[in-house]
Amino acid sequence: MSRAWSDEQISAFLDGELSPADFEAMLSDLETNPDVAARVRRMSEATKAFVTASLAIDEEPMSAGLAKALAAPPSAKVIPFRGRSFAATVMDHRAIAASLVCAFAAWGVFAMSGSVDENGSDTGGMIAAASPLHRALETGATGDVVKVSGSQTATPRLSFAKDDGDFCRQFDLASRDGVTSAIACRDDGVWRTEVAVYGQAAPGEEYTTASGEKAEPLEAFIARFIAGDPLDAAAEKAAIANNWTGAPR
Amino acid sequence: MTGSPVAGLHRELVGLAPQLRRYAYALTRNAADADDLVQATLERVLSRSIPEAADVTRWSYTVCRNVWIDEIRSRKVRRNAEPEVTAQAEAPVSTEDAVASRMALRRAQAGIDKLPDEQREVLALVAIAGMAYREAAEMLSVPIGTVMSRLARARAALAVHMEQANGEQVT
Repeated sequence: MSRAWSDEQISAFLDGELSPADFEAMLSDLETNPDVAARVRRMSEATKAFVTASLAIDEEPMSAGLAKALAAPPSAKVIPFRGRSFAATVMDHRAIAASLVCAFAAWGVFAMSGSVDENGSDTGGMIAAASPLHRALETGATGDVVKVSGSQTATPRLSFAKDDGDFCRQFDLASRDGVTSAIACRDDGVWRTEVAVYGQAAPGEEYTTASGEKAEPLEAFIARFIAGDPLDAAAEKAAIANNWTGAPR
Repeated sequence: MTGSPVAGLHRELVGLAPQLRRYAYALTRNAADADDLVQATLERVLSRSIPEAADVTRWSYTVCRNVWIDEIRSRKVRRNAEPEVTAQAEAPVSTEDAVASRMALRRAQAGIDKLPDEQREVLALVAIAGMAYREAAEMLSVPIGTVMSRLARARAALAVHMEQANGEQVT
């Protein structure tokens, strides 16, 4: 005699989720009880219809965005700050361009991408080795407020390693007028600014580090390039002690 | 760097994409939204760290579902304004079979559209993503019994819809 099977059990039978004993009992009832067989077939047809309908998208051309995301290896999905670098960032934010260039010039950053020095090197975004900012990036721990000139300070905010093994640091450059938040990466002993955003302090308020919309270029850069997690205090200390050389992981 | 973890993960996601796309389509019921959803899923999986113990496939489905809930599901306006995928596709109508299967597909899609989100998503997880009940229950944070009852209700409702639609077609 057949059991009184519930819809849940019939459904679980189709999904291979019945216990072995129930599975055997269901198989046996399928052969002997046309009603059970009809109910199983009905649920099975519904599942097939659902799957077939979902497969319909296989025939649809992919959106350009998805096709691009699938075709491009991640390295091609670079936010191309290096090369177009600093000037491009500035050009994308014309309103803040003047402030940004001034701010960086004050701390020894070569502001124009594409400019080439006498040795033929691209100096875009490079941080001069003799500058206080260079020193702050080389030796300052995250959270340290390093005085770079007058009332202006540099504060490392985050250190991380990239996939290629180079280290990068996010930092704030602050003055009474506002704060520039930037990320610089170190390659062969040279710190180069990869992305920067400038935020003016609201009147009467202290500057704050870049956040929200302003921080998007920074967050995008980190998300794109970070290998693993940011360095913790101990790892950062070790990296500073090793002059930011050696395998990060 | 082709050997980097990100590149390896990207390759894995490319292999997973067709299945994710079907799952996304089952959730969104709209091809454009499905592609947006898969694209956002890929970007999110690639740009954030994956929990150490997580399986990439299951993690990707989880991210996909979260993106759907957070961002895509609210776009009902667009979905309702657009015709269904197969309604706008140029299907061959040269044979009776082609017409019949096209009609069946449209009936199924209409039935799927009527399913409540929570029934459709659990059916998608089990029937399309191939998840075990336990996995689906973990992902949805519901008891296995809830997974079972939602699946049964989804199938039953779809069966009823198909039968009614077939009946209407005959009469």
